[in-house]
Formats: sequence, C-alpha cells, structure tokens
Amino acid sequence: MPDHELESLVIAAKAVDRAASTSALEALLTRVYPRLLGYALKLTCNRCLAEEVCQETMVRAITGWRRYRPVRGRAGVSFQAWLFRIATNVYRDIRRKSARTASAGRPAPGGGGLAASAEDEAIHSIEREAMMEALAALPEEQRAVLVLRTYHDCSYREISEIVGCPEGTVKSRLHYAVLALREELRRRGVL
Amino acid sequence: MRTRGRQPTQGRHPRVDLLEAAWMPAGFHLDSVPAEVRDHLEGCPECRAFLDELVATRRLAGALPAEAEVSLLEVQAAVRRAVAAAGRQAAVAQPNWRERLGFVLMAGAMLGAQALLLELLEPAGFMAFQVALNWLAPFLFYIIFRLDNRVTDKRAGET
Repeated sequence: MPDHELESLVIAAKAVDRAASTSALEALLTRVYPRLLGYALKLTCNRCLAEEVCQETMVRAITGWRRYRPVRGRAGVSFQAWLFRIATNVYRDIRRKSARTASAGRPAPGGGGLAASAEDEAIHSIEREAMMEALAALPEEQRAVLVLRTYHDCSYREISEIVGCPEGTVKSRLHYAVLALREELRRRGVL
Repeated sequence: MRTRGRQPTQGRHPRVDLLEAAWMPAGFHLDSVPAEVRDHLEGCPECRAFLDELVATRRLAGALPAEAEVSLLEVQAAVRRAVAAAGRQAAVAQPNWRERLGFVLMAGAMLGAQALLLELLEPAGFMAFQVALNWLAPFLFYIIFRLDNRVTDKRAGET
C-alpha cells in the first residue's frame, strides 16, 4: 500500500470516535503488520523474537493511539515511522532485560529462527542467507539505520526520529554500516 | 585512496558522496553523484572499484524482501492478540468509574454519619462510638480491600 494512502487512512481513523477508532486502528495494524514484521526480523535476526517485538509494539500502539499525532505539514510523524520507533524501543527493552538475565535478546548468527516457519522455506538462496548473516553481524544501532534506509526508504529525518539520534549520527552510522556490510559479504565470498 | 583527477567540492572525501548516492532510497544513479566526484571517478580506478562494490552490496541487500512473508490469518490472529492484551492492560491499570464513585460515596456517608452522631450523642457516647470505630477500622479496610480485588480480578477475567 502506498504511504500516502496509509497516512490518509490514519487521519480518517483519528477523526472517528473512540470505539470506531480502535477498530480502524486494528485494520491499520493488519495492513502494516507484514512491513513491521519485516523490520523486526531484520532488526532482531530471529523469528520468535521478531514476533514478540511486533506483539509488544502493537500493544503499545493500541494503548498509546490517543497520544499519536499524524503528519500535518511539517509536524507529526508518519504512522509507519511511529510504529518502527516503538518497535526499536521494544527491542532495546528486551535486549536490556535479556542482558541482565541471559543472551536471549542477542541476534542469532546465521539468521536464527528466520527460516523457522513453513512460509520461510523459500528463503534458502545463498544470497539471502549471506545477507541475513551479514546483517546479524552488524552492531544493533548500525543495523537499525541500515534496515530503515535500505528496506523502508526512510529519510534521514525519519530515521533520526525512529532511532532517537541526530541526523548527522544517522548518516555516520549508515556509512559505517554499509562499509561493515560490504566487509562481511566479502568475507563470506558473496561479493 | 588515490586522489587523481579533480577533487570533489566541500572538502568531502569522494567516497562519502559515492556511498550516499549508492544508498539513495530510489537506487543508484550516476547522475545523483556530484559532477566533481564523477570527474574524479574517471581518473581513479580504486574509487570506481569501490563504487562497483557498493552497488553490488546494495543489489545483494535487495535480495531480502522489505515485508515478511506472513499469511493474512496469522496477521489477523496477531492483531487480535494484541488488542486483547491491550484491553487487559487497560482494565487492570484504570479503576472503574463506579468503584471511584463508590469510594467517594462511602467516604461521604462516613463523614455524614459522624456529623449526625456528634449532634445526637452525648460527648461520652460519641467517644465510645469513636473507640469502637477505631477498633473496627482494620476489619473494614480488609473487607474493602478484598471486595476491590474481587472486582478487579473479575474484570480482568472478562477481558
């Protein structure tokens, strides 16, 4: 679905009353979920963890829906960027908690559970495997910036809002992430 | 890096411009590279090779889909779970308005009863009533606490 269409749906969902707004948000989440899961998968490099991140993201989105301000002119933030910001924070929280207890939040080298479900059987090409492994090898901050720029066409401004750092830092992280990715792919012999 | 050919503007390393151009959301186009850097590329095979590697890296990155492969049924189930979880959280976090009203009315009734008894009873009788109330207070609080927990548990179960 094109972004402008999604944003107009978001504005329509915000305009209706509370009960209708919740069902409209439900419909919006249903549409955005594959994209959200795609982001979470690349961020966590682990299918189970990605689903957990998505679940908690949606819960926080539903409870915080009334506080969300859609894009109007230069103000506000796009619905997708808002969800991605929540997902990034959720993943950070999980990592923080798991760092205290065990290494559950750490991305599994080699993609971990990415190919765990039946529909992921298709993901067996060498390039995809190598790409996931290379992504998993990147530091978390660099990985988030790279994924947002590469797969979700986010602007530097949007990325800075999502990951919570200045635009200059985003550019620098992207720079190092691309170089590290190139090295990783080269090391695996696919480049 | 060799710096043959014309140097790029703004004192930036040409590879910074190349990397930015290679990672534009719309994909790489040589036109998006500043003219100075394009001139530099013609005279620098190392930067040319660097650019080729960047473009190849970007192509490989494109091998992964932006969206996860997930069935509509799974999506709907996940969203429904999230809605239910959010409902549970909201129910536990926010007390019902009826409970709030109940507590306010109870406090008002207690104050009213005290004022009435103060008017009706002799000072000694009122003091005796106060002592009895002080003795009963923990039991009253216990009953209210149990009642509140039962209401909250029941509501959480319903959601």
